[in-house]
Amino acid sequence: MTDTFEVVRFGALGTTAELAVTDPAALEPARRVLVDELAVVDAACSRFRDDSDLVRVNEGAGRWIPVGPELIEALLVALRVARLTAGAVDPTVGRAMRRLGYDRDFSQVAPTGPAVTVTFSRIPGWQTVEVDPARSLVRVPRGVELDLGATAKAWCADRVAARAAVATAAGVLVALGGDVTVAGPPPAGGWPVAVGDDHRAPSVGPETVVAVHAGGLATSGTTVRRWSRGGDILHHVVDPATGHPAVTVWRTASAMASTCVDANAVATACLVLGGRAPTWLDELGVPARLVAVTGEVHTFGAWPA
Amino acid sequence: MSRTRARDEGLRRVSTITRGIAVLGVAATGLLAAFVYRASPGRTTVSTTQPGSAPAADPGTDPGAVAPTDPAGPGFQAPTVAPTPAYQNPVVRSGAS
Repeated sequence: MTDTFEVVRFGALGTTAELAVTDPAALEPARRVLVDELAVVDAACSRFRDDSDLVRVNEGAGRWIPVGPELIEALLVALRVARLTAGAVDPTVGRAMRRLGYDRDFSQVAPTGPAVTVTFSRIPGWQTVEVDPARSLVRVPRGVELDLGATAKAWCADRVAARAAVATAAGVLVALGGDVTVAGPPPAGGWPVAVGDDHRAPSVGPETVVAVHAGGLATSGTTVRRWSRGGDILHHVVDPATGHPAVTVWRTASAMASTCVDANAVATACLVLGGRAPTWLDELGVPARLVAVTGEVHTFGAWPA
Repeated sequence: MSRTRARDEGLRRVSTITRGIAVLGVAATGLLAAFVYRASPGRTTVSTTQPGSAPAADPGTDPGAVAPTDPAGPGFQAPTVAPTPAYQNPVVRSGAS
C-alpha cells in the first residue's frame, strides 16, 4: 500500500520547515498555522534578532526584563530539559557559543577564521535563570547569555503539529531542521521518515527509514553546522561542563519520545554525554539510535532493528 | 497626686507606648515585605524529579493523541506507539541541521 502526502517546504529559523498532511484540503490551513507559529517563536526566541525577547533578556542581564508569554513558556521548557538531562542540555550556553564564533545566523558564520581564545570553564548553569511567569519577567545574571537553539525548534514543531491537527482534523507531520513531530490520525503505515546525518541530503553515514505513528523524532549530529577557527574544527553542540564543543563520540544521535522537545533533548544530551550515553539510554527506555564516528550503529529501546 | 495615681498614670503611658511600638512594627514589616516583593519577584519552582525509566508504550492510547510539551511535566516518555520499520519512500528526513 502506498500513502500519498501533500508536502510543503520552505526556509525558516535558519533551517528548513517541512509540513505534510494526510488530507490535501488540510494543507493550506496547516501551512498558515506553521507560518504563524514560526513568526511567534522567532520573535520570542531568536538569538540573532535585535528585537527578540531573548536578545532583550541577554542585553539586560542583571535586571528583570518583561517578556511575552512565548518566551516564558520556551524558557520553562528549556529549564525542564536542563533538569531532566542533569544539565547536559543547558540554555545558558549562549556566551560560549558566541565566543566560539557562532554569533550570527549560521549562513553568515565564516567557515574559517583565526584561532579563538576560549578558556575551558563550566558555563553559568540553568539554575541561574530566574523566571516569574505570573509577572511575565525573566532575569539572568550578568555575564549569562541564553541560547534556546537546543529546544526552540522542536518546541515550535510540537506547537504547530498540535494546533494544525486540531484545526484540520487531519494527520499532520511537521519537521523543522529535521526535528519531526506528528499529530492527528497517522497514515495507515505511519509516517515514513529517513534518519541520517543531515536533514537536507542523503547521508554519507548509515541511514535508515522508520515509520512514526505518534510523538516526536529528532536527530542531533556533529557532521553539519561545523566551522573552523585556527585549524580547529568546531561544532554547535556545546558541552556545558567545558564551554567547548562536545567531544565527538557519535556522529549522530536520534531519539523518539512523546514530544519532539523530549526527543531532541535526549538526542542532544547523548552527544554531550559521549561514552556515557548508552547507559543513560538503557535507563530511559526511549527508542534511540546512535551512530559512532566509525559508522557503527547502536539501537536502544523499541527502535526498529 | 497620690503615689497610687502616679503609678497608674505611669503604667498607662507604658501600655500606650508598647501598643504604639507593636503597631509600628507590624506596619514596618508590611512595608518591608512589599519592598522586597517589588525588588525581587519570585522564582519559578522547579521540582527535582530525576530522569527515570520511561513507561512502556500503551497500545490502548489513541495514536494520534497530541502530547503538548508541559514545562512542569514528568520525565522523558516513549511515544505512545513504538516506531516500526518502514518500506516506503520517506516523506522527510530527520538529521542534524
